[in-house]
Amino acid sequence: MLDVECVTKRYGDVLALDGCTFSVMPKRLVGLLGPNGAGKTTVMRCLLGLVQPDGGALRWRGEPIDEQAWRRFGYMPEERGLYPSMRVLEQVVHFARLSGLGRAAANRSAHAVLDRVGAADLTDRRVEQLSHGNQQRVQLAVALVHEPELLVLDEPFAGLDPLGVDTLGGLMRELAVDGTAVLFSSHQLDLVQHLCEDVVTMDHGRVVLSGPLERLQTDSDRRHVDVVFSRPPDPAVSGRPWYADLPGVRVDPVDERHVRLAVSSDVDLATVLCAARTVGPLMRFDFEPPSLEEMFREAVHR
Amino acid sequence: MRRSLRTIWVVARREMTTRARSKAFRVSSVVMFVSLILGIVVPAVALGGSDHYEVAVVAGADDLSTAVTEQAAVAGLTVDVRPAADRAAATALVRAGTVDAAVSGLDEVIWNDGEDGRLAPVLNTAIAQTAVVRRAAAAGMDPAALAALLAPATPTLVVLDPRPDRTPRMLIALIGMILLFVALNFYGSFVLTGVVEEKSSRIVEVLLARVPASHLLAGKVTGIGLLGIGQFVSLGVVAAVTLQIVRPPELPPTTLPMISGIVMWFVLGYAFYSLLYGALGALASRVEDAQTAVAPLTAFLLLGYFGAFSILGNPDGWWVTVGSLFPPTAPMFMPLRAALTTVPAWQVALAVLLMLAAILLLVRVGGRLYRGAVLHTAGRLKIRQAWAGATG
Repeated sequence: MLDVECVTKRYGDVLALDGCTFSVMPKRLVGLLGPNGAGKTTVMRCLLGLVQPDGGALRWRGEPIDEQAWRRFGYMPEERGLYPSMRVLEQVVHFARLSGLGRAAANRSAHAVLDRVGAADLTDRRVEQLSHGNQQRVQLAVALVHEPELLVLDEPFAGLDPLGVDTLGGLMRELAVDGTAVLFSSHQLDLVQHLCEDVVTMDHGRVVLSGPLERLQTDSDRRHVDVVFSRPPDPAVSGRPWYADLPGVRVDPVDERHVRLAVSSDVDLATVLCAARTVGPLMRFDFEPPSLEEMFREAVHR
Repeated sequence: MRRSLRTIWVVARREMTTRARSKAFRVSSVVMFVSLILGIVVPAVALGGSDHYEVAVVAGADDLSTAVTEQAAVAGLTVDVRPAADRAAATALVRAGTVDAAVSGLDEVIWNDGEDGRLAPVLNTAIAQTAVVRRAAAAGMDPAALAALLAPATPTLVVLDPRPDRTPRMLIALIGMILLFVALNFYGSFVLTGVVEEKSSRIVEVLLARVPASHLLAGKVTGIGLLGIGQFVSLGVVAAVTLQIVRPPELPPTTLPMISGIVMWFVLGYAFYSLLYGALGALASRVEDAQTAVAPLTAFLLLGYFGAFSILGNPDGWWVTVGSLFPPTAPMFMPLRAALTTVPAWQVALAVLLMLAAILLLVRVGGRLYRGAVLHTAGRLKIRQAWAGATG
């Protein structure tokens, strides 16, 4: 639906985007992740026509992105901005009208969207009187009021408390289920890992890993196995630790009863289980895919 | 196209409604309207003076009372005569300020603190005439013969080389020019602060994601401009109506065309300066930097303003001709020059054409600077960087 192909952008000596390529599918919640300075904001600004890329192609539904497409995008920039002295409802209606809605439709849509983001009781307040969290709600309402087909959110979780993160995350998921393609960026990979369906991780203007999170995790040649014994394993059974002979395993002992193993994907977990059982009774044997952060670090060799 | 116009109109409407509600706009409107009305009424009253007087005449001199009324009519004054019982009563009336003067028989004219320049000749002539009539009656002269004897001679006024008095025209043009200068500054700074506020509050990124930069600048300039033109036209109408009511003694017949000319130059001047204010304002990131960014503009406006005063001394100087054609100074120079001397029609046309060309150029150049600069939020940009930024 949205295709970013080999987009480049240079600011003076800095290569902000270096052949950035990824896609966003409808009804999917896509996280654009990476450290600060990876090029996330630049690629988002390119999508919305705020920055003209030096090269590459941007396509929406197969067509190059133009003014028509921009009208169907919703955007919440990292630097939030609203008219401070305008009332909330007036403000949301104004942005709806800028997106081409008629007066009546803009009014209807503004009420509906304020209701949806939980700001229905703020309609007559001035933005400058609102708390940070409420301003964020209004900002989101502005981005949503024209019912965009693609929603682009730059660092939407910045400055939110855990409760706020959950609420906003839930809302984004709802929107995705309703058919909106949602692309959001974050530099806190672990914070948003449970939210994304698809991830695009970036570093130095390039896409490092991209695809459905689940597939990335299965494709990863690493996984974690936590082995917990109900009592400390008996060292007398063998002169060496029980895991010493397992191939393709890296070991990270947590304490004497708990061992965390990084196991490569070609190792049959049954052999690990058998080896563990020889030294004592097991209380826990967990399999866990690698975290996004770990996969990212591995991919960029840091 | 229709869609673009609608977007521009949505932007313009917001500018108009929020500015019109602002305290700065309301206060300035009241101040401008009041000072305009006072500026017309006060000089008219002060120059015109009062035409209405009251005079006490001591009882027993009806012929004198009639003579006073007659002479007043000849002098173009209205004098109410009020009878007083005796000299003391008349003096008391003068002292109390109830009447302007009192006449006691043919012997005395009583003033409170000195003669009034317009009333004194009326009273003196009335007394002299009454004296003549009484003496003639005492001498047995026929009243008809006396009337013929006293009939006034009325000579016709002949001026060989009449010189038009330009003072009232100059005053109107001067007031208009000062208002125009104030309004250009006022609305220009509205555009300037509007641009800088949107930039510093970062809302511009949200806006630009939906609206092209050129539409945004056009909408802003149009909205604030309509507000300003509305205010300026209202000022013009108020001025015209006040002039109709007050009717200063020497209102030139060309007053209405002059006011229309000033309004037209305001529209042109506003379009010119507000586009520049918007484009240069976009170079600044903070309100504090904005004044520095537009310093060259302010200099041009001041140059035009103070330069225009030099027209008063020599409206036919060559620099006046140049200044009234040069777009940045034309809005201030041309109306004043036209009021003081005869401007060839082709020069007026040329000035308007040059101005329109400059405005069209600014729409393109200013739009590009705005586009290139408005997303840069760190520090002040140089014009060159903004120009290059718009291409990249």
